[in-house]
Amino acid sequence: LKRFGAIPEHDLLSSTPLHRATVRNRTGGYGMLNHILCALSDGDRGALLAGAEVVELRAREEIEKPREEVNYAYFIEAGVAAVLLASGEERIALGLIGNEGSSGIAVFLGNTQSPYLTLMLTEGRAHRVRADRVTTAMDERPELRRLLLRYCLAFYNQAAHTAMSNAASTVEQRVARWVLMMGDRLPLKPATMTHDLIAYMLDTRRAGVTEALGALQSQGLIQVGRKAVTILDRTRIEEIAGHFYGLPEKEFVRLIGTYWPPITKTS
Amino acid sequence: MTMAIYFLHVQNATEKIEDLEGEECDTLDLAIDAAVDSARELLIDRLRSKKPADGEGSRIEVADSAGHVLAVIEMKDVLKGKF
Repeated sequence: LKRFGAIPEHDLLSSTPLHRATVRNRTGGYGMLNHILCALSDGDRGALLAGAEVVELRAREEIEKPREEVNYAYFIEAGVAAVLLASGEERIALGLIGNEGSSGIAVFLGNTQSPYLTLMLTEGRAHRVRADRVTTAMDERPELRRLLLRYCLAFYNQAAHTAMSNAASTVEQRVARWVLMMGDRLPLKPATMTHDLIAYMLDTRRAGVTEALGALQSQGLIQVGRKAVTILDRTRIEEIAGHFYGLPEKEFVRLIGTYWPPITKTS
Repeated sequence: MTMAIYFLHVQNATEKIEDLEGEECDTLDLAIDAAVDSARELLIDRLRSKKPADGEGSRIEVADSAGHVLAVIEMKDVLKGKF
């Protein structure tokens, strides 16, 4: 099946020049948009980033490959990556990483391999830190170590909710959750996402995504373009996503301590 | 042989939702197979969502890029196992 093969080029996204300009303006070039890096003390951040590079990432770039050595952690400043489990011809998404997080969870947990593929869905930018630097800094800096381990738990929460959502939600709920999660990580409007890409990530057929997006649009909650979705009524999309969205995001705030994302529901 | 783009428009109980992107298939038969598989998934999801599954006119239309409808997959036929 097409959706289990390579993602077609036309489904992958490009950041707009505005996206890059926003990064530059907010940071003066190479500042901190990454929530983990922002949450660190100056000393811990300096130790972690010693020798790190700021790298531009291409859409569909594989920043971690299954069963291959993880040489770097990418603390993402802009763009979105997906963590996928590939088994045979099938792939399923565990979760997303945007500027709230980082790749390299295997390294944070004391290893340098994982069975997962981490794939850039958009182009982006990241602080790339060598795995041995991460390990050394974690050994030397207990607060850094605790924060990175808490991020592992935050990602684990996200993956658990993805599993629950895949097992128990309707396609409309899953699409609503996905629209919110992508929107959280691509804050510029409209967030570029094709139906085919959403279907690929949600392990469903495109027609289901088309119908669900159509239903959300007919309720006035989103505006669907050919390759873009604009969120019009975030609160009501959160209501549709229900308990499949929100808890991992709130837990992220509790664990990492930064303000993200703009959840509106109170329960 | 170049692949053609086929569009799977979804008609449910209340509205017709246009497929704006389409998908590439080698042949019309493969596009019809994709439409049938899509119909099965939609039926499962509608039942799970407690929505009308195979109401009158509920179907998937397979169209070419010129907008010509080449095949129609009726949900009720899929439910009856005709494919």
